[in-house]
Amino acid sequence: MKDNDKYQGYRAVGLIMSAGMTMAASVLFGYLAGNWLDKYFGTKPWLTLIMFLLGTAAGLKALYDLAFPKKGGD
Amino acid sequence: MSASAHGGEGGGVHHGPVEPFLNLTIPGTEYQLPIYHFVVTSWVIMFILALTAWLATRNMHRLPKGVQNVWEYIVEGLFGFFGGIMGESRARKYGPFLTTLFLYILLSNYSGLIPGAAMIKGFVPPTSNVSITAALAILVFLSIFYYGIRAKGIGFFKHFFQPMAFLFILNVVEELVRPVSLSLRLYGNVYGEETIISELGKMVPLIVPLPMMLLGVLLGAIQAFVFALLASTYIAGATEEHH
Repeated sequence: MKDNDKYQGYRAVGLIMSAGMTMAASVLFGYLAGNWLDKYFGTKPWLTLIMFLLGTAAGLKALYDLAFPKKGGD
Repeated sequence: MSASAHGGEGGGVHHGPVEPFLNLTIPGTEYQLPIYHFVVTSWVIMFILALTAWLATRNMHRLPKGVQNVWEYIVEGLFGFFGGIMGESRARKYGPFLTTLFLYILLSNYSGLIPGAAMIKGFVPPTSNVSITAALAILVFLSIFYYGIRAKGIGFFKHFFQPMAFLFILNVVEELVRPVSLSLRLYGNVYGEETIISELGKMVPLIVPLPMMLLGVLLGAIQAFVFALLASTYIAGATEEHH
């Protein structure tokens, strides 16, 4: 499959270009969501802390999922 | 120097909240529907895509020529690429949506390369506005659920508990982050590039912005490609079948 090899290269470029923002957005999303929840429930600073860590973990998992996608056949 | 002549207007006047192209009053109410410049640009891009697609498929030949040839080349290449990610049969199923996304984003990024774009007030690529990229990302987000539920029924929600049940919250956060990262990535790249070109253009209108514009050609294609690639990876993950 020569065609497939060519597409693999493009895929790698796309993944590398997208990795940075995936990680950054995950951390940011976790922090902001935690902040909002803290304001809502009045539990400063616990939910911010928890969501921040969750966001970071989710970012790592998202990167893992991007690098090793679950193989689905036709 | 042109820098002093143009610099007084304030930095990046045409970005951010600009005044609308026109204000439509909704009949029967006092509400106004503002139509911004980038929405008009977006309409023009949609019109170009629809018109050329119609021209290409209006009178199809076995041996393609003209517009049909160009479109067949584009569609075949993109379907082949998506086929490498999700398999041939699913690429035919979800390819139209993904290809449309790619072409719309590509043309809209490249609309910033038309002479005068980013330097004329209001004339910016639609993708340099976060509302447009957020709309595209939400479209992808909803399509993941739509295609996933259509392909696997209620079993689609099982993937939130995989590989282990306690990862549920992590999976939910990961799913929610997707539209955020998709929209911010596209918006940030295009907005940044447009801002640099316009600021350089204010200082030295000739030659100097050219290298950035060249970079814009590369970046516009890469960003459109990355968006379509991620959308296809997400949809492939949502519709995969276990054996």
